[in-house]
Amino acid sequence: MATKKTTPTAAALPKKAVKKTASKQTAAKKTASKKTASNKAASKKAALPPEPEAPSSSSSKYRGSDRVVAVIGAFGFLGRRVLARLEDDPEVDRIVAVDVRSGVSSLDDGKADNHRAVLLQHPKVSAHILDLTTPGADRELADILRTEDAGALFHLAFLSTPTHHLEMAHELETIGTHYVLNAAREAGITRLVSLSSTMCYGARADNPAFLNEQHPLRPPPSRTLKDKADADEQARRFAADNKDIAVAVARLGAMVPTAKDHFWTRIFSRRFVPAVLGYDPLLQLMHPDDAVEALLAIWKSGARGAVNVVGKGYLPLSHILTRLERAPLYLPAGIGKSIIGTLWHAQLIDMPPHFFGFLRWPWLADDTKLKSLTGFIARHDLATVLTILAASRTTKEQA
Amino acid sequence: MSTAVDTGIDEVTDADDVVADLADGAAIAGSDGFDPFGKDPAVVAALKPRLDRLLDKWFRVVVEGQTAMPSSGRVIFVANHGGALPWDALVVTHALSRATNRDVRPLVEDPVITAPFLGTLMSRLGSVRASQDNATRLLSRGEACLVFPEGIQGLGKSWGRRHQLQRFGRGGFVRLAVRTKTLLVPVAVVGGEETAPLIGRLDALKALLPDTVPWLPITPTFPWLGPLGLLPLPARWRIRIGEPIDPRKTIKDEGDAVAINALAATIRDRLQKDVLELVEARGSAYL
Repeated sequence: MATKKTTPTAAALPKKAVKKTASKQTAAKKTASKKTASNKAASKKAALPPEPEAPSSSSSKYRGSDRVVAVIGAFGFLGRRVLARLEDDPEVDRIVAVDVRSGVSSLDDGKADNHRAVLLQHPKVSAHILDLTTPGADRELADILRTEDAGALFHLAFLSTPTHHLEMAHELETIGTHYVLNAAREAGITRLVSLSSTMCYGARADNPAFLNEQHPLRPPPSRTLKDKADADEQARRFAADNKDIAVAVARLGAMVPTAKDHFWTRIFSRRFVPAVLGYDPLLQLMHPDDAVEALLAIWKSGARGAVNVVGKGYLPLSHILTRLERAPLYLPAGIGKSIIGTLWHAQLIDMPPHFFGFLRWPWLADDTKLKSLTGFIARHDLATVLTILAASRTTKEQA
Repeated sequence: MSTAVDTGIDEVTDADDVVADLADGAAIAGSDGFDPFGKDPAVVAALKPRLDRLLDKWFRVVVEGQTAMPSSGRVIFVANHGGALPWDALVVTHALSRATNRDVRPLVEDPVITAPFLGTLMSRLGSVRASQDNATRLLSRGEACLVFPEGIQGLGKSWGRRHQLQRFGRGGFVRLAVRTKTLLVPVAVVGGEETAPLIGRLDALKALLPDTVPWLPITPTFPWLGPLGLLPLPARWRIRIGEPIDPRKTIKDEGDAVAINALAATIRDRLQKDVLELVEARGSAYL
């Protein structure tokens, strides 16, 4: 049995016990701290010379079950939606939810009166707390994945909005992806879907009208996007080195309406939206449900390589603002960028100066590859997305 | 697929994956009738009557030889470029569109298409940034493109050098035609230089201009009259459409750079001859 060849830490957790994790998650934090302790031992062990039964020799043969799907960043904005869809999927037996947040409180929708009841509502889910920014997270994740026998992996632990905490963002997105890929290789994952952004192409004057997946990533000199682009590159290199794993990188376009803390939702929810004087680029906006369906379609199809995932249709910024009844705040390109840069560095606004380019130059992405590989068709066109966004905002304003 | 003129459109999809991929991508539709290059049918419809009046009453445009050109299928019109402001992109596009009863998409050089306001307006009217990728997409949709191989050099030549064609880039338009199996149609244009005569360039003021504008043009009216100075002078325009050229007759391989440059030079010579004839035939530029 392949499980015999797992690492000592993984072997220390009996498989049957883990299968019942859902009902044993009441003390999720406790378990996590225990795991961290046992992991420290594991990472110490890993530093020693490889033993005959080291996973590197066995990992090429070991394959996780296709019916067990792990989601990293499971309680984030996209993760929660992916989780819900996987729970309804009869082809999925178990879902391994990995997140830095606690599983119980994240799954709690307020309907159940205690933790146990919350977990009983999600019998397929076993939740694990893991912080991808801590050293040794790859070992810990590999253990979780292997113990749970996960065969598919969604790597969704990415920030949805630019942050001033650049170090944390770098640790999470660049190093975190490094850890996730390491763990995926070791744990016998056969299908991996990672996230990226179409913003990584960069908005540039010399972009073609449609950016397809062959176009080089030329992110602006913004740390936020460079980290995402780096994660994208890592995943593609990983795919080239591990041909037996179907690795797809979903490059998501701008999404609205989303949670309040999502970048584009926030930009468009303001009364005045920054715009560049004399410019009016075409923009694509996607409904999050479509993004989730696309991610699932990519996973189901076993698609490989980078795949653009964008909304249906596009409109110039000015038309979008008219439909949302928002006023453009026109700024000249050069001065505008300086103003935004100053305010950003003073931490008074949440839009980095380089993002100003995305309101000036074209960056439409071509999702032909997604359509041809998966047959996926977005349900919401841009007009619908804008109607929903306008309606959600109106409701909030009235409240 | 059947086209009135055999431009080899059926052969392309199998032969060239790049073209086929791009063709699929170009089919993605925008909302409100927008196309991916930013053309807005509402703006085009609203401005068409005004453009008609501008061409007929102000510029008194005369188009010759339109009977010789294909009425459908992809085609590349190759025109000379001139004037301090790219009025020719507007006038030639509209004149060709009327003469052939089809949409003609001008491929415009970066400093023009990326200029604030001007670039946006030109995109809404159908202009596309000149690049191999964009052009391939347009052609794979069976559209008619209009290229100005002189590029920004054509706009930057002074009044004294009017009607003298500049270097034809590096023959990119010929390579494009070979790769996409498209006919080239030379279009000689007279009137651009007289509409916005360039009497000087203030390269020194570049620092004060938007980063995409290469120089501040000086014309008899600009910048002296402010924004009013940007209005066109009432020059008379003459446009001659030449015989289509099939580049594949002389060039078998798109890597044959020498043959590509040779064909570009041939077309340039032919246009130069036509331009001088048109100037001669037109008589006075303004009256």
